[in-house]
Amino acid sequence: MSTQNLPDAVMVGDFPRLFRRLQAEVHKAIIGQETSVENLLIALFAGGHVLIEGVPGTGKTTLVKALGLALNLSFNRIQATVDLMPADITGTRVLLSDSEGRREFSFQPGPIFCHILLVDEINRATPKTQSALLEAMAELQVTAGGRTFSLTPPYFVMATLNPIEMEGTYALPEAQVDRFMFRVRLGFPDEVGLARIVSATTGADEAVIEPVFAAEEAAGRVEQMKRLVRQVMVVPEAERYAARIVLATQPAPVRGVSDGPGTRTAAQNDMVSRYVSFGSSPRGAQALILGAKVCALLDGRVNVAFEDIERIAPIVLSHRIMLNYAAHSDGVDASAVLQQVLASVRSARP
Amino acid sequence: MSSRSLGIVRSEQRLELLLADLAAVRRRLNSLTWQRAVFVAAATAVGALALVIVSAVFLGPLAFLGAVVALSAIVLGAGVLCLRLLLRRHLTQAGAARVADERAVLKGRLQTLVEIAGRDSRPVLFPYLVEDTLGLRASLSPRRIEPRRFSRSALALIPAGALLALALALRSAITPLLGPGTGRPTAAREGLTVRPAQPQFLPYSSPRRGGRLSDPSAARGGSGTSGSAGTAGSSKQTSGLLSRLMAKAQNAGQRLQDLLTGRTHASASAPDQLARNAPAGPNENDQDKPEKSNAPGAATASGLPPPKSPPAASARQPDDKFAANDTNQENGTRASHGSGTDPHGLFGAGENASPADRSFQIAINARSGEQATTQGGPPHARHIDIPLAPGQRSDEPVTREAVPAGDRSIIKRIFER
Repeated sequence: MSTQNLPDAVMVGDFPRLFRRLQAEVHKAIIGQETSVENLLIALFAGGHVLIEGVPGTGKTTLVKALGLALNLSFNRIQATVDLMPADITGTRVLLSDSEGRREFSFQPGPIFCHILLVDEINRATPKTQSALLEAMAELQVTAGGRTFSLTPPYFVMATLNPIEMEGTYALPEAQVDRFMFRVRLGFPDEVGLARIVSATTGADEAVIEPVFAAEEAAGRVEQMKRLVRQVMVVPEAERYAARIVLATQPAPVRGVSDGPGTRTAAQNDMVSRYVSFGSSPRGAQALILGAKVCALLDGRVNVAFEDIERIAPIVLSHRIMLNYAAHSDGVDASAVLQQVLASVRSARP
Repeated sequence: MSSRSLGIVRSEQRLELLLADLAAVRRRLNSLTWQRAVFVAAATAVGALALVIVSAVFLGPLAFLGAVVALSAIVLGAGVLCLRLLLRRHLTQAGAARVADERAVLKGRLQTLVEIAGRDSRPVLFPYLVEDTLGLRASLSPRRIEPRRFSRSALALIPAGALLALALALRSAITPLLGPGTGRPTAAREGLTVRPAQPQFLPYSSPRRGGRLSDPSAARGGSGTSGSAGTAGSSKQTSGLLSRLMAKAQNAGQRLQDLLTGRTHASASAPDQLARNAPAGPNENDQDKPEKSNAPGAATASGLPPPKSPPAASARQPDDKFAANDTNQENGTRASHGSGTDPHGLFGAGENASPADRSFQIAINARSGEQATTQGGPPHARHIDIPLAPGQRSDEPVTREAVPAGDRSIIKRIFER
């Protein structure tokens, strides 16, 4: 295809190539988990944040480190504990004295000031500390000591959750969970994968991750790719499709959601009515379209297809659906509900 | 012109190419939709016509009329459904783009192209979309999107046509076998002659009541007339209207059946048939006049048995004068001329068959005069049982014989007087 004289044409062609290269670099450190790594990168270029869920030892921290290295962006890590204070994250004003003996308060930025932030075991932090992350994640700014500081884009937060160790943890509030674009699950590797991990990590040679971008241009290139994602075209039908999916996750009378035409049947899905106490928020629809745009670019297209939305829906919506006790007692998880929702909405697709 | 302008012009030309391809796809898809609607509607109509013909051959007039109404409703429903299908499946440009996207696996490219092409301000990546879609133009040809030029629904015409051919063949084969008068026999009430099975009974019926003899629904309605006069009157009116409607419907059904089967039916009124059976003469056209065709004399002249009612004056009972007057007033005819009033039509050919062969009997349960008094009507004749004389025979229709040539001038002179 001739792409001469087309604005951003080079970037459109480059996007999948750069994406795959980043993926390849990360996989030098992470054995397996192809889908998880891809989803992580999709969230990065869609401008979202990711909640990583996995049992200990599955490479959550390694994954984030590898990504930071491949992108050649600044990377910080916070280990959340019960006694972690908000100021430990955002930073604080400290009294400093200069060489002449003058003393003044100076703001010392916390680990939140970086491009890629890993919050390890975020559910161990107190709600007060967790909420300190909200402003940074949503508005790319931090308020400390009465002053507001901007964060430098790109800003990407990855928080890990340990699903098996719930004692002494604080469940994330819905508002904070909603701010994570994706929830990515790192599954336990199979026998072959585990053997490869052992082989790669116990030898004398360490995996060397080569940065895809030069240090001085890394942030700019990532931002350029994020802007390109925003330029991908979406027809109103696709936007309505995403909206219908989100509406279909709502149990009918909850939150006063009034179903529009064509959504009522989907919303009346049996599983949603029985097992869902709260459906997705409008952020879910935004995340669906943004994620779908990245998928379209990866497929070499500059338009969003229904398939892109369906491909991204499970990782966008699974953590936004709050299940009730009936679901827990029946062993039904969010992905099962979502499968039903997608099937019902797909059947009503124009 | 700058290179950028040239690029824009080229991009617009490419866009036009793609939109032209899409228009061709749309034309083909819409053509198929039209074909589908037309063929299905036509097949339904042809099938219904075949069933109408079959029912015209086998059913009675009322049942046939019911079948025609039902089949018409089905055809109308099918027409409405086809119209609905047409309106729903008639594709706009965006709809055609959606279908083409699905069938050529273009993943929404065409849909986006059509959507954005109509906007005033186009996104930066739109030229890339045009280029990208142009690269897949081969899969956009109408043949690939929709290989068929003609809808498969045309095949529905084959069984429908076969059914019609079968119905026509059936009609051609069966109608001659059935002959005229098949189906449910009917007779116009004004052509009925009521006479007793036993000559010693003198029947009387007012014309209105006599009319009900041929109308079961009216008879049913009349059975309840012993109640109040108002209720009886309204029920009589209703039943009369109903009977008239039924008669009209029956006639309409019969005419349609005759039209479809191509046979003449016995449903023509008895006087009409009598007129047809009468020998042609100089005043043949007069037979069509209702006054003459309804006259009892016409029935006799045409060979039907002479009417027994009103009976000859000499045979009447004293009470019977009311009956005779009533009958004459109601019918507006004169019945005292004996056989035939037209001197030109007096001498028909003799017949071999007994006139009784052309008549039929309807058993009527009549009550005796004491029980059958009507409000304001004349008293009925008493039941008088008079045994026949040894040389007397029961009332039988006299076989029509040719008038001897010598007597014709005398008879003619009498009638011309």
